[in-house]
Amino acid sequence: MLRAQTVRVSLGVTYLTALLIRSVPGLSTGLPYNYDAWEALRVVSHTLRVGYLPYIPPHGPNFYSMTILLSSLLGVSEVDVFAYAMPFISSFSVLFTFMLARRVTGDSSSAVYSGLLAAVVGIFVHQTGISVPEALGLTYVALALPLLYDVMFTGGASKTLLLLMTCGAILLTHHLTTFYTLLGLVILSAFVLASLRKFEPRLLTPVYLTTVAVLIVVGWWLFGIPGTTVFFFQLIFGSTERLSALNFVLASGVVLYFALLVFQWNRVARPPSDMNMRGLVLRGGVISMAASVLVLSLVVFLVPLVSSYQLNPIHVLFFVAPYAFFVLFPVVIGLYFLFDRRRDSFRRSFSMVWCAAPVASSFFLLMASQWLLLGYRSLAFLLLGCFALAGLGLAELVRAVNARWRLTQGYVLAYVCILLAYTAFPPPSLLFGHNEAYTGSEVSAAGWAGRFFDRSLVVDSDHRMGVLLRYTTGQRVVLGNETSWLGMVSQFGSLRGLQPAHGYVVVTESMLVYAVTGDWTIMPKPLPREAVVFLDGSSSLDRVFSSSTVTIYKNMQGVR
Amino acid sequence: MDEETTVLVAVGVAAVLVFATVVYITFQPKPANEFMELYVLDSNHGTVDYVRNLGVNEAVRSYVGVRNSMSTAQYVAVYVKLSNNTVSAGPCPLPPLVRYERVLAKGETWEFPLNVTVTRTEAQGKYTAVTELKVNNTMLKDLRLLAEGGKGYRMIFELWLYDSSSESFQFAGSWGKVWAQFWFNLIIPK
Repeated sequence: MLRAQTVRVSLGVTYLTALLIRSVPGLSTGLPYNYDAWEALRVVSHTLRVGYLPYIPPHGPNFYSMTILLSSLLGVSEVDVFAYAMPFISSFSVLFTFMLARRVTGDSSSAVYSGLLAAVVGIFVHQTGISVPEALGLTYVALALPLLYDVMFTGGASKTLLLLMTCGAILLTHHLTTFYTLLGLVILSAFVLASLRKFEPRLLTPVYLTTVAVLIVVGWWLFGIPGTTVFFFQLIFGSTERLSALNFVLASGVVLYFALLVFQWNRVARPPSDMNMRGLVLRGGVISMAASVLVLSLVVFLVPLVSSYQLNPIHVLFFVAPYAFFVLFPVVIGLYFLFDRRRDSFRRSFSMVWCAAPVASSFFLLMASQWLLLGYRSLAFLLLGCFALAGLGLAELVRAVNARWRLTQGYVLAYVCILLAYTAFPPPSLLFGHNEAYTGSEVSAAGWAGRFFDRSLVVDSDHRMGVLLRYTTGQRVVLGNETSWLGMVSQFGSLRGLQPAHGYVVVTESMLVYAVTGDWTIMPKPLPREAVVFLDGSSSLDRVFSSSTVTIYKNMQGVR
Repeated sequence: MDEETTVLVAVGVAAVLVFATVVYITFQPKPANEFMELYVLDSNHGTVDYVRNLGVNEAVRSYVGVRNSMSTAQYVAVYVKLSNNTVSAGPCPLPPLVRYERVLAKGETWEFPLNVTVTRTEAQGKYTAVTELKVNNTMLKDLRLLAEGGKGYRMIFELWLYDSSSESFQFAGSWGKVWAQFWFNLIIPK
């Protein structure tokens, strides 16, 4: 066990580490990062301008209200709030992860390592570092889990109240996070009911919560934000009409596997009686390698069937290797140690269901056509469920080595942290051409468009620049998809006539160097240089704006 | 050494490495946050009514704007060129009709009106040549720019920045290649 002072210092430094990493996009560009941030910013700016939300956003009003409140309280623009503020809030997820891990493992070293992983693991950093509702939603979930643990195993009216408030905040912040949380609660309820031998009201907390939550969540989705979340479910189920039974079998299979781990641990995992570390490392290595190969195989074979994305070895190395070695491997080791210490199925269930829910959801999507790609959205939630186990695994691996190596172990762990953090904000070349960072010249060009564009005309651009143009102009922009000239030329390479209805064409340097981003199921491709030559040489297109990174053309077709 | 050593070293060194990385990133020059902009607006100070067809002695007004978003003041020149659809652009190899110069403070926008009037043309077979042109108050004579049927003329605006090391204006540099244009057809008197 660590001394209380060591824990406090470690947590303080870990929070700062989390904050610094999450602040990298804001500090390096001075602007909001990620396409979705500009979509959310549009809602916030509109609200600040007119004094009310234009509509209840599909994610719920909480994130928007919070950013408006921060903008008002801090006296800074909403753009600055989006660029800099979210990391201060979402970095608290590190402390909440620590709280959960300490409860689950009963070990403060493991809990500190869990917090450290939450601070640096790339995908989790990315999803909690950008100013989108999901970042806030994940932070609330990180708080809700230790609260639920306390209410289940120790009780307390104040914690129950806090738990209910946190669950309400999740519901009003982000629909996908709400879905994963609810799915986790449903699975936990089932596991708890299967474990219950006598009536113990506190242990039934997830069952009460699930019953109430299902009614409220479904009611909110149907009547509070009609036409958004439910519409997505309809689309997904619509795409799986013929295979829906198989989808449910796949998802149920995952839940069943986790149930076997919880209830039949000795038979399924066959833990060594002496918990010999050499044997465990071997098992951990084999299991994590096998799981990585399985996931990779699914991705490599299924993704090209439902989309145009092609993985190359560099992507695999960058995105899979660090997670297989430094997250999945310690998770497996941690699982063996946790289940060796925690023999009651209630605590075992609690530590498993937050992993089971996102994995089951992803397996459901395996046979859901292009929706398979949505599986990547479950990774941040899955990691949140894994951190406690990974922290325990790291702590036990550290303890298994001779004490004279403690200093070296510290340096190695720090190096691992940097490697994991490096995957948080990948360069566009490793992200299929998706350039999530914006430049001042692009924002300035979009501002010019906002002042001088004719609002009645359609703008042709890509998803990345298009969301920025929507923010500044408020007009219709085609986002590099099949209705966009830029999207079609980048996908097919051949030049074709521009639609007269598209009054403006906005080309960025990012489209030429990286890709024209468009429909999320289609791998983006760069805009050929010939396209710019065509635009410059076409007498029906006036080149009306130019800067180092943005060129704007006015389509004069049909004008006499 | 005890377990606390590993925890503190891991947390501390990771924090120092992250801090160093963030400091390095923060003080790196931000890409494309130093830039120049050039734009052309129509006679209504918008982007809708750019001239399409221009008669002889018919004046067309437009507005040319330059914004300096570089980190320092810049001595800039806007070269106004008349070209057709057979000559390349960006940069256009033709000499400028007129050149407007000014020193722009950091963050300053300079916008000026541009009145263009084609005052004389000459028919040469199926081609038409613009031979006289008035740009603002400057009369330009002895021009010989041909276009088939008078179609496909373009007014090009190039942004050149003064480079103190070469003591001359440069078209391309760290600010990229910044230029704009609008096309028009001449209405040829019968």
